[in-house]
Amino acid sequence: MGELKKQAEVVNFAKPGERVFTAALFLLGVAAFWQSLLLWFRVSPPALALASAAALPMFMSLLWLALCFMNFFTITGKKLPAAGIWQSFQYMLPYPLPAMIAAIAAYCAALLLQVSFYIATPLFLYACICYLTRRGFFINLLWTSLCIGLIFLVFTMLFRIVLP
Amino acid sequence: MIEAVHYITVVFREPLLIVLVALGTFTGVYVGAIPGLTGVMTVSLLVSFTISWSMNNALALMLGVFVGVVFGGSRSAILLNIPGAPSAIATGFDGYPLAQKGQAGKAMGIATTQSFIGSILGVIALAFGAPLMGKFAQSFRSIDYVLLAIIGLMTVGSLGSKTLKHGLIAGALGVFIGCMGIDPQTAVRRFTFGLTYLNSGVDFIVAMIGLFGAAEALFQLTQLHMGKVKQQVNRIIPSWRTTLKYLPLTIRSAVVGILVGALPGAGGDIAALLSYDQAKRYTRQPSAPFGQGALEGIIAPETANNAAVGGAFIPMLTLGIPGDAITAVLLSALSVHGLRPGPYMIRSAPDIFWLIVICLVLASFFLLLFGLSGIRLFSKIVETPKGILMPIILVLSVVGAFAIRNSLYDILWMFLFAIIGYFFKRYDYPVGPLVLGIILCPLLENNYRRGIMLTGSLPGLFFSIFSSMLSLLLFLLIIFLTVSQTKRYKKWREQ
Repeated sequence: MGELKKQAEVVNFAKPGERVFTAALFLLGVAAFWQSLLLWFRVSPPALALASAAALPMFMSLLWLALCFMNFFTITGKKLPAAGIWQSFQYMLPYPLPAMIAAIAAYCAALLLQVSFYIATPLFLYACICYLTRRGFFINLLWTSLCIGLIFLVFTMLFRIVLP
Repeated sequence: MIEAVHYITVVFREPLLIVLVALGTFTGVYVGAIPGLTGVMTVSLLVSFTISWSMNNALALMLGVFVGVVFGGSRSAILLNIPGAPSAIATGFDGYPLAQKGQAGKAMGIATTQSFIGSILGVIALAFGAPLMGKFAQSFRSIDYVLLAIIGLMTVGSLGSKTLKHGLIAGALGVFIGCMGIDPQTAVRRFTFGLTYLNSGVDFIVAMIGLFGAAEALFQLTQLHMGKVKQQVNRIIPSWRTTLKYLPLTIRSAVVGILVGALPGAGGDIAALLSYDQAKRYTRQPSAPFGQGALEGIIAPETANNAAVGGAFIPMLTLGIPGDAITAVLLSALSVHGLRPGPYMIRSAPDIFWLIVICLVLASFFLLLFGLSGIRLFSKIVETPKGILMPIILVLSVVGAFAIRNSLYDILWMFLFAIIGYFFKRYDYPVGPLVLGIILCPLLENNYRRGIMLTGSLPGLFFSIFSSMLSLLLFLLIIFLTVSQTKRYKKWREQ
């Protein structure tokens, strides 16, 4: 991984996964342009097409596509790093991100399933801190309590925000 | 003049006003530091809270909050790279790298003193130049706003990225996202995919929290192995020599802030970015490369965003048009208390005008006091182990995102932006242009479409640039910004 990072810092080398990312941006641009085109035909009377609701999205998606296209040529001109698929994946999502993203997904699912904020959040926070620090479980509990207490004081009591 | 002195001394006849300004500034400084809690939200709450108060007392409190919250966002921007307010986005470009080098105290000290100076200069412009500035604001046409928005996008496109292409892609993506929702002019649904939630579009604060806060937290988690940065807090207040050395930059930034703040709809966020860009272009020997902890990169935006506060009051008090979102709420507050802001307000209610001036001055001094206090304590935040700090930031980002519209879907959007922001950082795409694209989209689109309808065609809109000196100047600035990005120009400048 260290070698990969050194290679990535050299300008003539593409970063692991950079081509995939550029291609993903380009495909997103194509989707945006397609949606803008559909909107254009839906809302644009010929006389006022340039003042319609589709004008700016159309222009921006075209600009986005053109720039991504130019970017793709720049990327293909760079040398590929000496990395396989697994190493590229590790560069894109190194430890501990996969676990953290899974925890975030579980947390969001809990909130959407109407689990109370004051149950889901302390559990999420405590689990993440314990996973990342791997020690001081009692101290981690104190940090969790402090954070939740601050949120309660500022957001719920002071600003009267009703949390889910 | 004697009348003005009489009105200004009201704070000495009613000492409670001083207390309320202090309380408001203190509240603003700390509320501004929390992403998700905005100045608009706080001032809106205060309008209902102070409805039974006298107008003087209510105004004093709200003005203190306004000044404090504009500055407050810079603290979290410097310490955590999470701007507490859009006007602090540019401060994080160099403030955060400086904190990473162990100089968070120095960065916050400079941000505080420059905010104070910018705020005072803005108030001076308000006090002595309001009628003139009001005419300037009135001269802006639709095409001028379009050109200003383009300048803003081009400016952010070139900031903080190795290539202009990356910045412009991010800006284009941001503007596109800003177009989502029900079109305000024709009520057409754009890119909502049948989801009711998307009818109101994507809130730029949700995007800001996700792209700066949560994304940064995810990125920092990949660097858990790096040791914590020890903060040096031996010198917080910059020396007189430092302040005088950067005086020309301070004045230029204040002028940018006042002028942009005086434009209805353009606020401290645009002012800070334009000011950062001019500092980057015209500073020959910065203290460090821009984006790596240059002091100039903190001085310029912090001066401009607070100078824009004074500027924002100019159209409000001379034309009855709010300069930004917070002045829009203040306008409603004045109406609630029986006042009608408009072109004759300065003549019909000079006491209110001068009360606003003196309260802003007092708030600036309290900003200096409260801003410099607690810096040592706040600097310690950066020394908290990342394994503890980053999950807390993620949770605060969730709460901040939810607090905007009380919507669970905003939390999902925030995390989506966090993932986008993480990958953007991984592959050297700047996230600032994405947020600014969302912010600038309404300004750009509404004025563009209004301009097309007024002139009848795109060529008509283009040629209307040449019918006004102001439009022509803005257009030439765009050409200059484009040319200055070319390799030939950069080579010529080096020679």
